[in-house]
Amino acid sequence: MADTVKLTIDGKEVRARADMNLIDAAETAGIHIPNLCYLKGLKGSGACRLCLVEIEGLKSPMTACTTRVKEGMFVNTRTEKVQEIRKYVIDLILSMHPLDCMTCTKAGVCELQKYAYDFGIKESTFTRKKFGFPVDNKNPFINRDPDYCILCGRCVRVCKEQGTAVLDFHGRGVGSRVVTAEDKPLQEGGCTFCGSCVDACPVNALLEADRWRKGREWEYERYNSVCLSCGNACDTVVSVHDKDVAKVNAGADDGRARHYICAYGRFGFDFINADTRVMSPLKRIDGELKPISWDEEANQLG
Amino acid sequence: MEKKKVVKVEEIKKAAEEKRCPVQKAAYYIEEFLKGPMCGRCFPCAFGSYEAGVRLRNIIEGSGKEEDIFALRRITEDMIVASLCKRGKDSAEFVHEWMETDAFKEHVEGRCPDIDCPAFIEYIIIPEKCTMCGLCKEVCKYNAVLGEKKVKYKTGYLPFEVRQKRCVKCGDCIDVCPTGAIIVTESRKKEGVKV
Ligand code: SF4
Ligand code: SF4
Ligand code: SF4
Ligand code: SF4
Ligand code: SF4
Ligand code: SF4
Repeated sequence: MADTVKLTIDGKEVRARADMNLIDAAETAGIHIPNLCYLKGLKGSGACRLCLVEIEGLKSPMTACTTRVKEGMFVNTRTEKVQEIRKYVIDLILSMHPLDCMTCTKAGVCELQKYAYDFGIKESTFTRKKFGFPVDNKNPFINRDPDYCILCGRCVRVCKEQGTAVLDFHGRGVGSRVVTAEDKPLQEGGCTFCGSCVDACPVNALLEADRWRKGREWEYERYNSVCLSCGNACDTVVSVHDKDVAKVNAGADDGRARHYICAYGRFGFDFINADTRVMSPLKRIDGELKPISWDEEANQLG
Repeated sequence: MEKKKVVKVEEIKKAAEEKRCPVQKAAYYIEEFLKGPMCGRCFPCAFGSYEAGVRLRNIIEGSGKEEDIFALRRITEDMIVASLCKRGKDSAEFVHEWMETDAFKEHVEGRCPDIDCPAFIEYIIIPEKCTMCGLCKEVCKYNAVLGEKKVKYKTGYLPFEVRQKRCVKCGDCIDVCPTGAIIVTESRKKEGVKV
């Protein structure tokens, strides 16, 4: 077990592993430090600047995703200064975002929506920017809609780590996009459809295909499960809507970067409702397989 | 692929300082910053400097409002605190400094105190000084000068005049006028105001 250190976050005494960053450490104490580009398990990139916190003894705020805990550290995550930065950044993002929460599939679990709500930003005070980028939806698994993208870079980083490193930024700043090499659709771009990027995306820019108007996130029942398609037996979370599987995500705690499931585990749930699926014991009667009840089956075996 | 050498922010600032009007300085700076050193790696600077550019253009074009100045203050102040690197912070400082004069407020009220921003100025010809040589009319690419070249022994000429609707404020005519009859003044009506 690694060494632990003691620090104070928002007046709360926190004991944390010495190699933790401030976001993770605060989380163990139930304190959420806002962030949009941090992905648990991956190195922080300090891009969105939402996680800026003030540390006593330091003049300028530090990004919690890239700052390690230290013995005796005094951290304030909610000062006026850093709250203003958060509002400012969310305000800027909203000025280039479709603001489509009423029909958006991601609504309910969207992190941008959550922060806009938390900070009470109804609409952007900045100049409206529109793009109209083409949607990449010619594959059966993943929809990519760059208009919703907030350029957090999570997908790019997670694809480098867990996928096939097919995603990258094209351009910089406002008007830039996440693309594959030569801007090809995913299926031609070397993507293996692990879907890690879908789990990583905080907004509606990367989404499982076929989810449009198939129930909303808050209507789903969620079950911790295990994929049995191969010997790895990965943890999954299955979301069920109206007795049908709506989606499968990487499992355990929060389903972020540390957890990986492959395309079979994530998208291979069609067999559940397939005509060929065996739902009850079968008995060969007159050369034909006929379904029998479970009781009958038990008697036969006994 | 050969890497393009990125222009330093100090160099852009130096070029910007050559303009007279502080709003022009800031707008030029931000435009060049976005074209060059702005790397896009952090949100406050990448998105903020772009928005600053939009607001500065509003002001320069004569459609600026009080809220544009407010937004610029907020952008620059938050960029100074939150930008990831020195380039972003420095850029915000530069714009913030240029904003210290009353010039921004005056633009919003309809005048460019340095008589620099095209939206707030007019080129006019002073009739008493004009010799009706017609050089300005010849040089104007936009056919904005109205007048008839003087021929000996004829009278009844109307003085030369700049048609404001056509004039793009390029300044070519001023350079050729031998008697200094063409001057730049504050425009009489507020121009470019979007309704
Ligand atoms: S991605 Fe999020 S913020 Fe954007 S429209 Fe959908 S729910 Fe709303
Ligand atoms: S599905 Fe996997 S391989 Fe494909 S882009 Fe996403 S992370 Fe990369
Ligand atoms: S697609 Fe999603 S994860 Fe990727 S950069 Fe855009 S918002 Fe971030
Ligand atoms: S998700 Fe993929 S790797 Fe994991 S158990 Fe299922 S099939 Fe195997
Ligand atoms: S502050 Fe620096 S890192 Fe951030 S976008 Fe500007 S130039 Fe890039
Ligand atoms: S300023 Fe340019 S466009 Fe205007 S009258 Fe002179 S030459 Fe013509």
